[in-house]
Amino acid sequence: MLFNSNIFLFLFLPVVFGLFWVLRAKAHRYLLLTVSSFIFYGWWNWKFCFLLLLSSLTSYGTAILIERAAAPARKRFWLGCTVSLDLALLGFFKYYNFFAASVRTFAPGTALPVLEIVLPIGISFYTFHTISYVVDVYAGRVRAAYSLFEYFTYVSLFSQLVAGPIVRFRQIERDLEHIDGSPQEKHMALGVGFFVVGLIKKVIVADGIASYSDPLIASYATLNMGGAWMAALGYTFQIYFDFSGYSDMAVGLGYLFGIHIPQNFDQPYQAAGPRDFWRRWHISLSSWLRDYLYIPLGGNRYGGFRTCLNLAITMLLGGLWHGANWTFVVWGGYHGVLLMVERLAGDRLAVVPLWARRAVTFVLVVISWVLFRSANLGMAWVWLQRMAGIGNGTTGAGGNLVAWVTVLLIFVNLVPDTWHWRWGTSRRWAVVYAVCFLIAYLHMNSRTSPFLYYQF
Amino acid sequence: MRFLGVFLLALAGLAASYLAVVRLVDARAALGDPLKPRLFPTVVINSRTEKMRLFQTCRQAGEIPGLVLGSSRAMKLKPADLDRDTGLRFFNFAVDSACGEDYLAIYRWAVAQGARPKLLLLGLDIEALHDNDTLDERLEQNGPLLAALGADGPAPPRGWQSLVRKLGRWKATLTLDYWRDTRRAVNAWMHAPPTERIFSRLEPDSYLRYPKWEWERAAGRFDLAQRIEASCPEYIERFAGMRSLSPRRKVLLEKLISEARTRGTEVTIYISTLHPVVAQRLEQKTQYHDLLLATRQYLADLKARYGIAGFDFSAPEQFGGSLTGWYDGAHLDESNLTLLQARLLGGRP
Repeated sequence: MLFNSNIFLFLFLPVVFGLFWVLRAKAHRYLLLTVSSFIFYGWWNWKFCFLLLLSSLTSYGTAILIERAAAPARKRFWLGCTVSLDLALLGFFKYYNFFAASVRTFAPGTALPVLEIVLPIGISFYTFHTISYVVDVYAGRVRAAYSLFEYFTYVSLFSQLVAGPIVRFRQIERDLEHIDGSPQEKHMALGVGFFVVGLIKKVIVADGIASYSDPLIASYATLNMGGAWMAALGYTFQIYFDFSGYSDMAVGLGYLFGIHIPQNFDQPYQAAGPRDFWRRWHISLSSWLRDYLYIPLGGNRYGGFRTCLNLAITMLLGGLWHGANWTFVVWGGYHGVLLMVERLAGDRLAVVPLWARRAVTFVLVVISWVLFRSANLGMAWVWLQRMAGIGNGTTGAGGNLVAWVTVLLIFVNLVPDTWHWRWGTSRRWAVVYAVCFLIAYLHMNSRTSPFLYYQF
Repeated sequence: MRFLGVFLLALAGLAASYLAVVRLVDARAALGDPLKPRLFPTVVINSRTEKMRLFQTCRQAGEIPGLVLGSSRAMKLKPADLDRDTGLRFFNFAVDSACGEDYLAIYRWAVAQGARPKLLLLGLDIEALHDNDTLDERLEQNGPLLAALGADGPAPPRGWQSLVRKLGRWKATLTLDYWRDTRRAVNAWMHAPPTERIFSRLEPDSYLRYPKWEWERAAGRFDLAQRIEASCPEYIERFAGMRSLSPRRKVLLEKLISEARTRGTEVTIYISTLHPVVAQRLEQKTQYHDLLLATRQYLADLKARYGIAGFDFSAPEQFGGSLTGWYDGAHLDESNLTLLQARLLGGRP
């Protein structure tokens, strides 16, 4: 079920919302959110609900065992069990065929069969939810949840189940504990506001610019230099407005049920360096990678070489997390190199004017999206060549795409992120949101397109 | 919850206002009674409803013993030329994307209006017998035509089905395109749009004009090669999934022939033409070749069983047509249609 679908907007959401506020008891609300989230998830393929159930039950049970275990070795054992199972499931469903195909490429004699595996939607996200939870219980950062449905609500909450943000248990633990509270006027206003703005970002901006940049990207080999840059810029804005739109909608939905979903974007295209970019882009993922991968690897505690190595490992795995394709690995590696260069340059970059650092960072990020968007490394190579003016392509960008890119370039540099807006909560604003929703709906009803991050 | 209440109330009010405007303007002639006159012009011609209205007007001026049925590919057969060549007053009742059930529904509706056709010309598209048996939504939404189809049409929706269908029709208006059409209709009502912006227009005698393309041709801006190329994906899509001629649609077509013959109507059927470029592309991507052979065989069978006249005009050379007398990959221009018409009328028994 998509947030931008009629079934979600006019049946699922009103029914779940209505029932949620009619029910008063905490247990009932947990149960409702769990059942409805499984319905939401099973709408794609009900069989994958069992996978979600297995992953949730395992982490729920082992977290309790970890908490109850007295000996550190015992705790480590249970942690190892659950993380291994989660990673095994993720590895099999998401990476097995990629691994088999890669082995065949590099060692043609090795015959690993390629299986017909359907990637369960959202598996990368809920796997990270469950891993972060058991690791936090192991580290004593949170207490294990003893209410099964409270935990299920955390893992499977439909607002952030399939494409994040990657919420940690401790971030919403308090809200879950107080889920039996009464509705708050301000939360409702914020919920509607975030949801409507997210919908506009997705169906008007992201889908709008994609309708011009996608055809250009499809003919990447014949692009001239300007066309290649416009295609890359188009995708740069598409992915931002698509994913941040989704995140805003998730935040809005959270508010409607009294749950504070954390911020996932903070004006990433205003970043003044690669490290700054990752503090602003997909914050829940980058902070997850930092806390559960980079720091446990040693972070920056063991000298320059180890820091660079840890950065490289973190970013390569972060790239691979996005999908089983070498393009994502190279994309992650590229960002790893940028982070290393920035770290090695140290304070010397401080003398460069802020606007120049921002501009260079933006261009470097645009280049990285070419790797991210390309179907394979060959396509990325050709596209980048066209951007460098190599080749004799003749296809240029149309005026509409240039206009979109220009407007959005100004927008992302001048307009603050939705999290910094002063949201109107008066009833007058309710009317404004209603107008915005209707306009977004007219766009949405014209075409149904899934969110880009659903594929990850 | 007051905020939410105001939001939902405002949304309901806005949606109701929007739907009221859309209903009033009815830019696609899809929402109201198809036969009632409308205040605003239609900007996306619904040829079924438009032609039904035109037919009623034409009938008031006298008998219409000549009828053309078919899809948009037969819509350019000019009634005035047919009148001249046959001595019968003609009405072109070909409608967009017509299939077997459309032919029968339109014929029956015309007869129910008091028409007594003596000559029926039918431009048969191969895909009009598509075995997906899916009704065109413009027929599905046309109450009078569905009623004419009677038991040969789909069972009328009842209860929830009916409600869901009605809601679906309204929901379909909640799109940007529909809103743009509504705006265009209001603009056209206030001041007539320039010729180069009008894609198609029906003359009072049911003849179809393409003002935009005619203007482009006169201005030397018409790119036929590009139009033909643009037709290819559309027709590949139309033939997608078609494996054989639909038995159900064949039955409906034969019912039409039987009913016409019973009333003494002379029936002439021709397989309509596609540009060789489109045909070639269809042969590569779809079962077009086999389907064309099956249609030819079926037409021969109809000729033998019902004594009708039948022609295979699937390629332009079959009526002496040219490769340049086209508006796109499927629609002949006046020069080719004159040749087709001459062969069609000259070859009748």
